[in-house]
Amino acid sequence: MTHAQARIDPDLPEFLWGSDSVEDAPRSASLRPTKTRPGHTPGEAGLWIFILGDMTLFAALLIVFLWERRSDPVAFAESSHQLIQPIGAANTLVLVVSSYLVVRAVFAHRGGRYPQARRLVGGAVSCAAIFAGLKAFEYYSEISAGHTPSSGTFFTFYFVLTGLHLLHVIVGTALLLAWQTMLTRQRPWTESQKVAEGIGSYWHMVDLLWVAIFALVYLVSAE
Amino acid sequence: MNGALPRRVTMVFAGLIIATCITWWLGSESKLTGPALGMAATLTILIAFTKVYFIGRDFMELRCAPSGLRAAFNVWVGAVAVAAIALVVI
Amino acid sequence: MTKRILTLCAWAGPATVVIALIGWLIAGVLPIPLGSESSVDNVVNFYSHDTRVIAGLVISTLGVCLVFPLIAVIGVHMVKMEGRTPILTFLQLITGAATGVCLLLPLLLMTTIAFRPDRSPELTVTLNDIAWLLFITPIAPFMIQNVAIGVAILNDKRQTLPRWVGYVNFWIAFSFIPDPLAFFFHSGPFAWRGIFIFWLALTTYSVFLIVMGLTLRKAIRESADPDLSAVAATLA
Repeated sequence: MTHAQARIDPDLPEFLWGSDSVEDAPRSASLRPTKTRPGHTPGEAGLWIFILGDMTLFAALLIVFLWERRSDPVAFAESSHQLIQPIGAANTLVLVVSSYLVVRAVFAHRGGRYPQARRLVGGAVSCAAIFAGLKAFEYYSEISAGHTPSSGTFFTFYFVLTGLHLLHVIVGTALLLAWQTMLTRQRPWTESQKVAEGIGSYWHMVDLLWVAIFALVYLVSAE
Repeated sequence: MNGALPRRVTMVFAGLIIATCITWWLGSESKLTGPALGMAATLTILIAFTKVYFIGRDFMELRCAPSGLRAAFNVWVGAVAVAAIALVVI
Repeated sequence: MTKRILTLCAWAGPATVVIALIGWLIAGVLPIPLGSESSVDNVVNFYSHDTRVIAGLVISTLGVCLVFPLIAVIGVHMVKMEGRTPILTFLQLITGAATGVCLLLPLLLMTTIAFRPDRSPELTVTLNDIAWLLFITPIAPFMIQNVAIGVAILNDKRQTLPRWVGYVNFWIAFSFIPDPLAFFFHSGPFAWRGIFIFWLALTTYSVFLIVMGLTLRKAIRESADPDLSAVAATLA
């Protein structure tokens, strides 16, 4: 009940006593048996609050984008035609491929095939690099042509949506590289399942957000 | 878990690639007006969000997830798709 | 006694939201705040109701300072998570303190504007711009605080706080990213009054205060009494 067994160090303030080991950990509420629910949550439940929350933020941005479009669909169409659609489409394909590689990597990690998993994650990282490169080129072209985030509502939303998405790609790439390190160290699936599946799910979110952005910003606006 | 990739996943991947090409083609066939425009836009949105649904179902492996999580994801897909179509077409 | 203090500090989180919102309602900052696109007349007219504006804003300044007790109790729990090298704890304390100041000063500035409602309108508009932009744009202390909390929770083997709270902190940090856009836009959804700037940040920061307050309260309730262990230690 009390922490009398904790290491007592008279030179430290009381709240820094206590070991760094887990055995001393007080019985926390989460150790109570939870009700069993069928189904396996990829990663862990808390992560999905982040993923669904993130998706909702992007959805709000896209909905407001479409709402703003209604006040001037012609201007939106004109602006949308300034975008380089082939790059947008290529980026969609690149991310879909990278997502597929990530799924295969999860299965490979599960099956203990570390070298294959590492190669697949590496492939996904390469795809991310291609995406970023194409995006940089696209931004450069737009800005050289005089289209900046202040060039009207369409381009404001274009840069904000794709910019926020690119931030997600960068964070996702860092996560993929962290996963790759785990694979190099051959961390077994039983220890890594939550993290690996979580990173995979995050990457799939990055993919699906781009699918929505491409469809609404590049295609539907231009029609 | 044996770790072998189910064929289903590869087929979803192939489907996503094809769907992307279809929507790109639809989008580039511009100069549409009137009802054809609305139809093309609706179709693009439907295809896009079907892709999103399958990415969630088979790539994120939500098909094995608890029903609450699956439902939340599907509600997102449905709500955003419907809102998008409504804002574009109406 | 310690437990009671900890619990009070946890309650300070939700209390911040309630008191600050009441203050803003009285002052007229809510439901519709002044925007960058508001006309000079609108701005001057707002501050001309000086007594009400001052009273409401003073209440809100007291309200926002209730984040300080919350930051402290978050810090106590982060130490439990980190152990002997509480770097993220320190980071949260420092950046948390900064966030309190970033919330307080702009509101004091707004109160000062209402101090002399017969100022030249140009000065009033300028001071109002400064107050709002200083209020909306400094995202870094907030984001660093949230990320520090999130990382500490996810690395915590003892599950002092539930893991979903870590993820919520990451999401909240992310929601602040668009805020510097307020410098670039004078109207629309990315101006300082825009839906993705003021309204989004207000919502997610309130979520932060309430979620942290309530989950900490629960963790405090279920933890061992620190006073008992201190007594036992001195007797040992």
